Amino acid sequence: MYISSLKIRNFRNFDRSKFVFKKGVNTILGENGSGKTNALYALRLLLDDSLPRNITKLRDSDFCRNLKTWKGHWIIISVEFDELSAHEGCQTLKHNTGHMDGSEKGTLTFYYRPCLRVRQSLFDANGDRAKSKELIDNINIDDYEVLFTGRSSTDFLLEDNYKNLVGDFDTLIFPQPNDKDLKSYGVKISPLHEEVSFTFVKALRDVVSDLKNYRHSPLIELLKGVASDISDVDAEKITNLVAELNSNISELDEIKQVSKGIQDTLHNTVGYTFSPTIDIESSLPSELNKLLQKLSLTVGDNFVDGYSGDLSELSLGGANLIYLALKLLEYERKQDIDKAAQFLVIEEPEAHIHTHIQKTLFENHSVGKTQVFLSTHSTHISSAAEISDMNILGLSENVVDVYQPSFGLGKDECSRIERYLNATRSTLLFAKGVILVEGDAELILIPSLVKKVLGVSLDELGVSLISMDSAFFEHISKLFCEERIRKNCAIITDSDTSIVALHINPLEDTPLQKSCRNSQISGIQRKTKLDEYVQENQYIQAFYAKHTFEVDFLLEDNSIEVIETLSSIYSKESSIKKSKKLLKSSDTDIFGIEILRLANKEGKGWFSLLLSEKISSETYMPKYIMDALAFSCKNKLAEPILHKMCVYRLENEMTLTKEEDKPIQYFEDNLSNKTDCINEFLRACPDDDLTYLIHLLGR
Amino acid sequence: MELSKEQSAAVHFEGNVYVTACPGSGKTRALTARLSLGMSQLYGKSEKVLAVTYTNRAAEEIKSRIEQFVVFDSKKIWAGTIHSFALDWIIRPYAGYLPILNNGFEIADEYETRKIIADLKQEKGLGFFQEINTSFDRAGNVANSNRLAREVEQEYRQHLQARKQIDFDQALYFTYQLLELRPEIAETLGTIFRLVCIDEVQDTQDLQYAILSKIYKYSKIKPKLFIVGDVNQAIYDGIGGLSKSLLELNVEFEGSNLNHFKFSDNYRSTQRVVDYFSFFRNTHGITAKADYSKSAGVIQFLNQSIHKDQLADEIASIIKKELNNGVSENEICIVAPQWAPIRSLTRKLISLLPNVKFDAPSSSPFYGQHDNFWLIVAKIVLTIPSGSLYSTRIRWANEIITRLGDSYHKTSDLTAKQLLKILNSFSSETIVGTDYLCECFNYLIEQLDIELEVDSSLHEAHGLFFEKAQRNIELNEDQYRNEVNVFRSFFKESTGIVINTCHGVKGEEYETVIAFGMLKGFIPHWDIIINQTAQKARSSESKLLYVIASRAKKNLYIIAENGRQTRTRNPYETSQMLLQYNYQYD
Repeated sequence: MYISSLKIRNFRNFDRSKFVFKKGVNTILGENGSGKTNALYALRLLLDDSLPRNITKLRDSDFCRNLKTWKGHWIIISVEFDELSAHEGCQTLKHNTGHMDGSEKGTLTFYYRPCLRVRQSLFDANGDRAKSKELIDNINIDDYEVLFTGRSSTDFLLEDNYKNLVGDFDTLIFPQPNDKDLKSYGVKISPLHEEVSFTFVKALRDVVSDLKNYRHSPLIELLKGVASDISDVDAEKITNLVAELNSNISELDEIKQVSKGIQDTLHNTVGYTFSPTIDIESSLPSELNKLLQKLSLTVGDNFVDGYSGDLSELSLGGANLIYLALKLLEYERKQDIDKAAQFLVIEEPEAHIHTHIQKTLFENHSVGKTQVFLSTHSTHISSAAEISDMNILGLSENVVDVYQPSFGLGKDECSRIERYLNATRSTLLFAKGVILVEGDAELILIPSLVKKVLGVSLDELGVSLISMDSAFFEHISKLFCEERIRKNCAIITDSDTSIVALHINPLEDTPLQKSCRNSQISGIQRKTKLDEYVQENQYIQAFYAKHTFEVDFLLEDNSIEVIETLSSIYSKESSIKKSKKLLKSSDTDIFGIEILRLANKEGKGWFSLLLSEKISSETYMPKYIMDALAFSCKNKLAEPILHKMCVYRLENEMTLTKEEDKPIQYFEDNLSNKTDCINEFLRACPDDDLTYLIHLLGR
Repeated sequence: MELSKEQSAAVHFEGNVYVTACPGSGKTRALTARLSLGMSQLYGKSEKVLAVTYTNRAAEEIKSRIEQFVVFDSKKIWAGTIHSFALDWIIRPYAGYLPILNNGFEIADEYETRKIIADLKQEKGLGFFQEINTSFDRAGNVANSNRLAREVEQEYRQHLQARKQIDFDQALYFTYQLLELRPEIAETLGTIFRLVCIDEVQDTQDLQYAILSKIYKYSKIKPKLFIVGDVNQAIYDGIGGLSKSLLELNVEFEGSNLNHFKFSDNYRSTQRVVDYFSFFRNTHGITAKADYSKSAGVIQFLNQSIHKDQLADEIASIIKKELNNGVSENEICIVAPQWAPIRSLTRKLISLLPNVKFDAPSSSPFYGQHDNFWLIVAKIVLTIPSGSLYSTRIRWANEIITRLGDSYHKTSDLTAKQLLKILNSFSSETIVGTDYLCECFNYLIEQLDIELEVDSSLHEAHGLFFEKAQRNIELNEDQYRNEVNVFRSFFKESTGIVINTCHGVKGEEYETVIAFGMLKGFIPHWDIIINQTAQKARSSESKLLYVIASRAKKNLYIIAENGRQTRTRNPYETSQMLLQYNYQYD
């Protein structure tokens, strides 16, 4: 049995989200504050029996902030089980949640909803808007009740279902509460927390205090079971020999087993070289039960024989390791008891262990009945994990969207993409938007263009710029679509239109013309294919340089910047002069050939590095790049960022706006009114690149 | 628990078992032992043993017997009637799969259903004795002999459906349908219940067999079967009880290969009583093995020698004699085939023997209310918190909380102890029983902030509770007063002379049994003989006599009183079988 999906409606920052899980290891990826902890908490509300029972009584602050008012709405969290057969301890779970339709699926749903009295009065008021509104206004959080059901067949993420079964908050029509509709809501059951084993390892920043804290220490949890295993004879002996207690206890097999268990787990986890030596010692105790609770962990290291010290002497990393080891041991102990399934949930494992150990570790723990859930914001772990295990949280305007990047992709396709996503490239999984480019030139120049022309970095915009061999465009861009990652992906590539005039008859081509013609032909083919590919997909759009990136850069009247690089390329004044003349030409076939010659001479990457040093606020940004940038931001940027860009422009040289025309005074006078400032900028600097960009951003 | 050789052989047999057990042979003992053994063999906490009994009372008896000698884990056993099993494990959890149940349902009150049918019969001009069948066969048909009866049945069901109610017959049929539609349900139940014990199998109805055998059929790993019954005690054939032979059972539970065990030692009665009752079903050869098996006791037959108006005096003198001989009150039982004569006799006996206690369920104001929510509240408020009742009261309180939890979310935080505290804090000046309860219910409604209007079924139950209580009190006029103290006495541990019907004392045993109304037309009832062959009627008669006579440990008084008249003004005759029994009575 495993959890195949988690659906969350109206809970915390989840408006309506679905997570898809598979057997084995699952990763929930997301930036800080995107709701990873909330998602795991939702899972825990349904299945973790270490949470206090009354925790399911939620608060008004637990409702999604996106709701205009929480009053009257329901919080609905459901998990779907798969491979739920009536064996191996799953009987109770199957009987309570199984769909009994041969699918081996089951559904457990948690509702936090207004009580019957309120629902009845809302139903009675149907058709009387004023009355309904008054009733809703008067709803108090104490009017809410908790309900667990099994076998619900409804997807509450769908608006129509929500309207029919919860209520329509526009028309103010609510369903008759006495129509139980057991098939849709499910049949009331007692919570099923005890049917599964659930181990939660939280992202601890201060583990040492947790280890020392009697109530929170996982060691105490482990020792609880041991007390009853110790024989009466041993117990009496101990009480009699209080004086020798410390040594006696250390000799007890039960204790040794615990310490050995910890040590073994450690060894298995990090190997012999790095694991600290573990021992358990006692300080003067009196009776057996209390005795065992007095036991505490001591640690030493492998290099100083016989030394064992207090936990606080341990490095933070070491303490984290021990904490994790204790938790994993606790989880392994739980496995012996017959449970329908084991769930191991680890929040931000990077807080505990180095990323390169993580993958092996979790794979080792995902055998048999165990399903592992990890939450992380680490790009490192994301490059180690498989995209087919991933759920990605994306925040946009305070609402979380959950993506499954591998949805519907074949196994081979997934693994090809995974291989390509190295640590840096995997940032595309987190970004708010993505720009895919062809080569190093764009990769180097675009960030400095954005930084120098607009005064903000791509990171600030949340845009991830990724270099991609053109063959990979299709594969990677496949990730962006309705079913997978719902973020925009702009593709920047070259049309390779010939820079020299071509004859009608190809047979008369000079070698240069021939090579230009060939590039042009393959360029057209590529463009046709790409256009066709992106046409159906609103999340992807292609943006073309007419010729090539360098030529188009020069076409934008950026010869000054290029000429400035010449001194770094040539030492001879004559060579510089000659090249300068060619670059200043207005004919594409002259300056185009020249810049390509320079780029080839220096190497495209090196040349763009040189060029990037020369870029300033006066550089013109090629239009198609701005188009791509705007698209990757979903044609939306927050006002503070736009304002910041305007200020940057005004504070720096602007080629097309005279110093005296700059609305600097206006900006100073209207500091608090960003909207007006931006509008003033648009008015005063109509020809500026930023004005063009802001217009693209829907203003 | 000590088992005899024949009991032990059946209990410890590895395969599936079918036991035919003569009266007093320790059937319940063996069943209890098998259940305990089954509980000890369970693997995993999801597994349970299942005991299907004929009455809820029998289920309680089994549970309390198990409690006596093993550490009882209520999660490991489910015991109850097939109806409660069907409701708890199939109908309620899987109601969503049947459109008729999907929007919620209630179990119709039996008293109500009888009233609806009676009204419909009158409307259609059908006679009082016209039987209306409401039970289903496996194909979902309800067989009725004529058009009007069919109409009554159909309109009755429409009536129920309009109130979102179902009756017990429907519960069984829907259960069967669910198991057939979704075999996975049966399969899952089969993995939960690793041992299925069926008590009183001879009184099981066809559809009940079908339900249990479906679970067996669809289980991938078959549960163990332990089936116990006695064809000779099949006294429910009038209402669909169907006793099956070993061969038929093996067909029903396909592949079970049931092994037949016979219990033919009697640990209850004297050899004399054993020999006496053996005549009725020709079961000669049963050995009496009780310590007192050799004692003589009394076996008397008062044939037409007593007029029905002197019946109470005669029985009173028998009781006095028995009490003088040292027999304790709760070892005496008065039994008759029907309720009507029992009620009037009870009234008379109570006035004739003011110092003797009687345990007569029919006379209680709460008779026939066991499914009513408000009865649980009444039980709590009319009993006193004491050691022996402590856990029972907690269980009652939990039942209330569970039921309320469906409508009142605030009660979900309520603990049983808190609820008991609320009810214990109720006090009233009134001594009128029904007024007292009414005030108490209102107090609870107020304290828990229950809005009765929102929950129609609770509201209805409230009305019904007092309607029935009033009716019961009127039926038993003069016998007791409508007073709180009298009400309280009905919930005291049952001690006293038992007065009940033949069906009500099934499975029980008493030192002295006094049976009256042993008349043709009473045993069995006209209803049953009217359209049957003489052979069938005779068979029913013999089984009833067999059951009655075999209740006695030592003393048996059989009375066929005179003076009773049929509707057509003919005198009732003595039971044919008793007349033909040439026995040397005392």
